[in-house]
Amino acid sequence: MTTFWQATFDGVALGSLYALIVLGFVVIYRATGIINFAQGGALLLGAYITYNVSTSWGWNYHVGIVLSVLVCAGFNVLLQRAMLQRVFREVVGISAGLLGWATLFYNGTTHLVGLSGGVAIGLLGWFATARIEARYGDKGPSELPLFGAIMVTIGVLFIVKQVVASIWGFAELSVDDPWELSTSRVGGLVLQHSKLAAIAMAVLALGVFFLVDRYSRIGVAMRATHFDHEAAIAQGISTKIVFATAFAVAGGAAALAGTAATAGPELITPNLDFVVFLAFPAMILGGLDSPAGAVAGGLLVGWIQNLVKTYVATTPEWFPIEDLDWLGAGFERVAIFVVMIIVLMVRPYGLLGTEEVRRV
Amino acid sequence: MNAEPEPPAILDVRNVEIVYNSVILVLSGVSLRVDQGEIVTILGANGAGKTTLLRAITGLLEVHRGEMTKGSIIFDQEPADHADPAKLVRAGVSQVMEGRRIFAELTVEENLRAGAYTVRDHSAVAAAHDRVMDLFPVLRPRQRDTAGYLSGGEQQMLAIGRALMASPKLLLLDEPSLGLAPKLVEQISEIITTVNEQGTSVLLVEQNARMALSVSDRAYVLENGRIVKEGTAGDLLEDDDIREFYLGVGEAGRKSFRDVKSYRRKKRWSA
Repeated sequence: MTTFWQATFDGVALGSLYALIVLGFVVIYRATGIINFAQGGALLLGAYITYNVSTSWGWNYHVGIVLSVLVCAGFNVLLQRAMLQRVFREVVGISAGLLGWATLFYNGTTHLVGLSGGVAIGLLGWFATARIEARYGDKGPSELPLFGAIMVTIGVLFIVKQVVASIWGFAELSVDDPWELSTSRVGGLVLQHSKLAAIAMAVLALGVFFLVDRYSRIGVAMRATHFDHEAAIAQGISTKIVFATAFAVAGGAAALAGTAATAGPELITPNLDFVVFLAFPAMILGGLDSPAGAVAGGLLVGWIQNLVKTYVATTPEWFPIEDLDWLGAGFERVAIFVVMIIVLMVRPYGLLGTEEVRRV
Repeated sequence: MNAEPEPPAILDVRNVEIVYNSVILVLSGVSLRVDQGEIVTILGANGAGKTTLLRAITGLLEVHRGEMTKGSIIFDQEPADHADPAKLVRAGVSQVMEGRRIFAELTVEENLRAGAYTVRDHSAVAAAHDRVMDLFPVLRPRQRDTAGYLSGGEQQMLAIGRALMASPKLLLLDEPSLGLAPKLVEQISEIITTVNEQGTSVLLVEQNARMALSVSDRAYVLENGRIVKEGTAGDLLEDDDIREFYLGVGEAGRKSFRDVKSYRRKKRWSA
């Protein structure tokens, strides 16, 4: 039984991390319809900023958390305002510029060359797109379609990853956090302090979010915008503010998740963003537009992942098949998707997603 | 008709032309005014451009890729064309959209709070809330219910209540009688009168001409994107064309197919 509870504890710790990440996905999806893959970028950035402030600069760890939340919220708002709310040619221009800058920077050029090269490439992209639009488009500058915006977020993820790697390097770094490797023993359970802290942080952040979402003016506005965009505008709700808030909340949540994921014995590398793709099934499982579903889905996925991992490694006695090694390493990640498919068969809108409300 | 000096117009729409998608001309040369404290009706068939006109007034054209290419809209002495919808709501224009468009998944209470989004002052929100509850006592016990499960009439009342939460100077109503039983239509028209008596000017878009003309002071008839008739409600109620096309009181007796054809010919005043 101890094995089960140990797996459950670790699962909840991992699940609260997923819950934070998925909350970011859900809040942005709910407000704008965009699935923001750049969440992985915000997560990376958050983790590295906490590292930088607490370890490189040697400041207080908690100051690092606060700073990383603020910077990531700002990063996300910037992403939304500068990239996702633009007409096509601007998006192409900015993307080309960023890509050019990241590539030059990554290849070890000086800042001057990198930046001016990026600007030149960006302008080239802008003019080329404008020419193509003028020649083949049916009218004026066209807006970025929703699907295009999603693709842009994937591109931004790659760029952020490159930039992070070129600033902090590929090496595995250890963050100087207050928990280190300390643990408590309760019964037969080993409770890692960093995991307890992660759970506490997630509970606090999610609690604040749910209060704001439920009762505050901006919370009602965000939900109203989700259900009827035009009617929300007609009430005088500013979609700009709603979108920016959603992105800021998601950025902050990703920063917290990134920080929690690298606390304690965990190390930090530029491949940390992978966790976002593991959290993705949790979003679908919980329901794309439900923050409560984000928490439920995140916890469920974290829990299942840990249970499967534990029991595949050491098969319990009552289990008929003695050896599960043939499932291969990392089967727990497959298991998540199996569960996701089963849930979607029963509830196509996810565990807590909105089933359309209609009076019969 | 009366000799009193005219009160200033709350809404003045001048010579407006609206184009969708840069090619589809929906309104051209439309002018109308709503004076302070008036109820004004716009009558018109489907596709005449009534909703488009309302969108132009509330700044929602952009959502539909529409553009005002000519003319001007002045609300409360301030230019209101090309204005941001949020700014217009703050200035005092609220709209009850066609088909109610309440937030079905939110509660009644949350719908009302969404309507009060632009109001920062808590006591003003509370006052507006009390006013809405007094106007629509049926909503009072249902505040925590999901709005989508209200009856059609209650939903319409919620939609009007939501618009009133911003305490507008001008209330725009787009077909509030749509899909409602006659008794409810009567109730809605009483509410419109009450709201107007409390000091809100009303611009009412309707296909139910009988109801609309019974509550309003003046009316415009919109056909194919143009104003083809205007006058006081009383005059229009007496007008032969209005009686025939909107009120369905024509010469007695069943109509033959030829009459139907003549109806279609006659209907194009502006042609």
